[in-house]
Order: sequence, then C-alpha cells, then structure tokens
Amino acid sequence: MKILDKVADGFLWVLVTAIALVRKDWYAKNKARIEEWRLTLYALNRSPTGVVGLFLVLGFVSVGVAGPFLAPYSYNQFLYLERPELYLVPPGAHGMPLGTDIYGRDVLSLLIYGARVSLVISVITIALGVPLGILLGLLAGYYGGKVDETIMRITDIFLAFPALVLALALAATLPQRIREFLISEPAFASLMAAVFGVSSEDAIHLAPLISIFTALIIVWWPMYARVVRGMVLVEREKTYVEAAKALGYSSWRIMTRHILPNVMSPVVVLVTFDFATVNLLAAGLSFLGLGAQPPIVDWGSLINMGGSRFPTAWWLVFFPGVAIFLTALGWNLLGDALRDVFDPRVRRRIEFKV
Amino acid sequence: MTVYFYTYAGVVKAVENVSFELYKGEVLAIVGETGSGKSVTTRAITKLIQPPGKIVSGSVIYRRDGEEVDLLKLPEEELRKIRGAEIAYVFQDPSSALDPLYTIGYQIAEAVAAHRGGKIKQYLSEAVNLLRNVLIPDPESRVRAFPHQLSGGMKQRSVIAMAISNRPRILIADEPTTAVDVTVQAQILHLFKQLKEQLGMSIIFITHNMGLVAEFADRVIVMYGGKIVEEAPVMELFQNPRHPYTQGLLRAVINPITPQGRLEPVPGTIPNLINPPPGCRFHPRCPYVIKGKCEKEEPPLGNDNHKVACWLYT
Repeated sequence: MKILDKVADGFLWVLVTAIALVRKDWYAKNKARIEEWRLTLYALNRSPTGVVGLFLVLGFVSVGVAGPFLAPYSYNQFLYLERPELYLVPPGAHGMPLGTDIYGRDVLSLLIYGARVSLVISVITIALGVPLGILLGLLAGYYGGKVDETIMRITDIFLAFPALVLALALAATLPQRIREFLISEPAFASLMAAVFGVSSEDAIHLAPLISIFTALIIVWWPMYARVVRGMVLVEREKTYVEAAKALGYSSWRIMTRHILPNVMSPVVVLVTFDFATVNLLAAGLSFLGLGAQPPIVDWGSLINMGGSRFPTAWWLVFFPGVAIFLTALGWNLLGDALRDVFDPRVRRRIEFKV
Repeated sequence: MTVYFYTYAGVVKAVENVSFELYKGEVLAIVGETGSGKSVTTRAITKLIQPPGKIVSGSVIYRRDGEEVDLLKLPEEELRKIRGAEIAYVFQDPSSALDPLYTIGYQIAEAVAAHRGGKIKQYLSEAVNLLRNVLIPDPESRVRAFPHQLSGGMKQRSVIAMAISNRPRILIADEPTTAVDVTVQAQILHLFKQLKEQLGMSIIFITHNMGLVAEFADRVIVMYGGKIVEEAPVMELFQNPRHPYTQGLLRAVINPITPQGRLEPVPGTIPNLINPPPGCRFHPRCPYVIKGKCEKEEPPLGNDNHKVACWLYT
C-alpha cells in the first residue's frame, strides 16, 4: 500500500512538473485540485481489484503502444520458409517461448502485434463513437421536444437491432469499398499502416480492420446517447441551469460548460467497461473471419487459425484466449474500482481508510 | 401578457391577462400563494419560459435610453445580451442556483465575461470586489470556494453578486429569502436596499412574506390564480386592503401595521388552473361572494392608483 502510494505521488509529481513547465503559475493555482487527484489515486490504491485491473490495463496499453518495437520477430517473418522444422512448434521447443503457427511465425510476437491491433481498434471506436453519443445525448436532452424525439427514435432503432449482427453485416460489406479507398489514397493507407504497426506494403490488408472499427463506431454511440440524455434531463431542471439562462449564456455554453461536466463521471466509468466490450466484440468479429486478414493477425484471427487444429496446436488458442481474457478482466476491474471512487457516497467510505 | 402550459392533463392557464408597470428605481413586490403565477410572470419578462410553457400573447415594453423595445419580439440573440446584463435574476434556492463544479469566483467572473467578452480569468479580481460588495467576509479567499463550502446565506449573496455583476437596470428577485433563515433574511434585505441605492436599479421582489413587503416595497401587486387581483402603493395596501383575498392574506400573517389577535388562514386551496372557476377566480373561496354575479362575470381591474379586481367595488 505504502509503495503504491509512493508510486502515485511520483506519478503526480511528474505530471505536475510537466504541466508547470508549460504553464508557470499553474501549480500555485491548482493546489486543491492536485490534492484531489492525489486522494483519488490513493482511494484507487485501497481497492485491491482496482490495482490489479490498473496493472493489467497498463500492461496491455504499454504492450500495445511499444509492442511492434519489442517483438522478437516481425508478424511477416515466415520462418517456415527457411526452417521447415518450425511448422507448428509447441511452446518452449526450438527457442520459441510460446510456439509457432502454421507459417512458422513466433506466437509471442503475434500476440504482441495483436495487442496493438486491439488497442487501436478500441481506442478509435471509443474516441469517435463516445463523443458522438455524448453530443447527440446532450442535444436531445437539452432541447427536448422534436429534437429529442428524432434523435432518440433513431437511437432506439439502433439499440433494438443487435449490435453484433449489425457490426457483422457492416464488417462483411464495407471492406471492398475501403480497399478501393486505401488504393486511391496512399497517404491515408500508410498512416493506417503506421497506426496499426504493420509495414506499409500490407496496408491494403487493413481494409477489414478499418471496416471493423467503422462498424463498431456506428453501433457504439446509441448507448451513450441514451445514458447522457437521461442524465441531462435531470441536470437541466436544476436551478443553476435556469440561472445560467437568466444570465444570458448561450445554449451551447450551458450544455458544454455546465451540464456536460456534471454528467461526465458515469460516462468515464462506462468508457472503461466499454474498452473491454469493444475488445471482445472486435476479437469476436476477427474470430468469425471478418477481422484481420493474413498476414496481419490479431487475437481473434489467431484463435480462428488454431480452432481448426485444436487440441493438437492448443497454444494457438490458449495464449490469445488468455490475452483477451486478461485484457477484458483488467478493464472491468478498473471500471468497477473507478465507479466506487467517483461515487461520492462510496468514496467517503474509502477516504476514511486513506 | 398570457402564459399557458400545455401539459398532458390539459392547458394550464398559469398567467392570464396580467399587465403591470415597473418604474425606474422602485421596488415592486409581487405576492400571492404558491401557484398563483408570480414566478411565471417574471420569467416571461425575458422569455425564460420552458416548454411545455408558452407565452401566448402579450408584450414586454422595455424603455432604455429613450428607445422602446418589445422584449418578446426580440430575436434570441439580442435577448441574451439583455438577460444578465440589463435584467438579472436571483432565484429562490441558492444551493442549486450555483453550478457545484466551479468555484464561486469563477462563476461570477464567467457572468461578467459572458457580457463584456474576453477571458474569464481576467475578471477574477472583479469577482473579489463584487463579493466584497455583497458583504462576504474575506472575499479574497472565498472566491476560490466551491458552493458546497459556503453557508446558505453566503451562497445567496454569491448569487446576488452574480446578478449585479453587470450592473443591471432591473433585478428580479424570486423569493430570494425563502431558503435562508430569518437573521440572514434581514441582512439580505438590507443588502438589496444598499445595492438599489448604489446602482439605481429597479427591483421586482417576489415573496410570500408580507413582513418583507411592508419593510421593503414601494408598490405591491397581489396575484391570485394567474391574475392580478389588487395593485396599490404599499402603505395604502396594508391600511386599506380592498380585495377579499388580500384581506385574507393579511389576516393570515402578522400584520406589521395593525396589530391583531388570531391568525386566520384563507379557507380552501388555490384553484386548478386547467379549469379555472368562471367569473372571478376567487369566488369559490370568497366570504363576500355576490350570487349570480361573481361566478358569471369577471371583474375588471380598475385604473386608478389603487386597482382592485372585485365586484364589491364597482
């Protein structure tokens, strides 16, 4: 516990010094806020599951970010071509810690590359889908009436339709057009290749992955629109919103500066849970063969490859499965702990222990 | 002015044919029971009526610098410049009228910045002065306080500081003292008086409290069931209340001018404004009801110094 608190202190110190470098008097003005952050981190440290979740998530994120530079082999090193003995090697043999796949590729390296793909898909889906949902929820909740009806009925249509089926349909139909787009826009193609950590010759094979996150964005916003709208309906009846109107503030200002911050903390918690859900859904789509196409791999497509050779080549199913499991578990544990920390009532109880 | 609320249960005729004038530098008190349309009337002045409410008809003529504008016909953009800058509000419940996430200094500075332009931060020192103006002790450190760190009285003063931050010509105070205790009430009333002298504003003062009216107002409007039933200068009203409802109201509180024995409640409850009683809206509760007259025809509001809408006086 003491060590974790020291780590939290150190982390805050780094963060504060970094900000202070850019903005001179920031530290003096925001002392109270920094204390608040410190308390938040301490409270998180008091929840063992939260700490486990945090470590799992940090591990996943750092592997995802740094992975392609760390991996012992590249995803497109088909060792089988030169060393035929490397076909489907079990873990440990021939110096391959987690074995190899049917092309003689190192499974450990594939897992590390897969982490990048998972991370990119979940980050892009959440970064684009969630703000869209929040914006629509704000508009619907704040203006009410016809705006509300229109937005929420569209949301209902999306919610009524199973997200996975819709994502399946989109992921099956989009790739062709995205492939054409990638060919006609080489700059975009090489950007995407860099983001996914693959070489730019393989950019063309990214089309299915791009269509997966496009599909996920399309099915992801409705839940946020609904949640945010519900909370905005509560907030907009409060007197401070009326007071803000009486002071002559614009609707946009009231929505973004006053209502949005007041509804944000449940959204943050929902986001952490959704990282897990997006990961699972993306892996699921890949497993069904709609995601990463060879030579690009992600965890879902690895399991798909191993599935037909199970249980002989159990390592092709087992290790990606463990990776997916740990990532989803990590996000869920972290989300759980954050919900407790952000809920003022539970938080009070945790703070006593700090 | 007429304001209706379109609800599922029917059209609530919250305010009907209400008309009054507010002169420069005066304090106009509006009194009446809960649901008599006091708040709706004042919010309608700057079109702050939310759906399902709707201003059905009427006009708000606002004279400034020799020109006359109808606030209800102004585009939203223009109206927003007037709200907060020329006509400011103080609401009833100070604890919810402040955004819990920002310091009061920030919120006051934001109110200033919204009308004068520029960054919010550059007005923080002005926020300190405003807090000093509304007699908050140690304003330099209070500007950094969050609403939950302040007492009810201090919150109400902060709200008042926000309202006067742009030196409005009209201040509309909607039951500003209902949520604070009696000693704070007296202080806040005193504060209003001071600010009125300093800034030369007109004040519309909504309250249930007849004591405050006698203490503070120049003229009084009594509302009942969405209509004005009596309008008179304050001394005139307390000495010579004419409408039976006003008489009832004054019997129901400790009259500061003529001492009396027992307090008497006004019998009955406020009418349902979806189907208001025909004729005079007060007739079902009125002790002096004239059969065949009050429930059929609506009494006109007179036109002299002491207006009253009652058949007893025509």
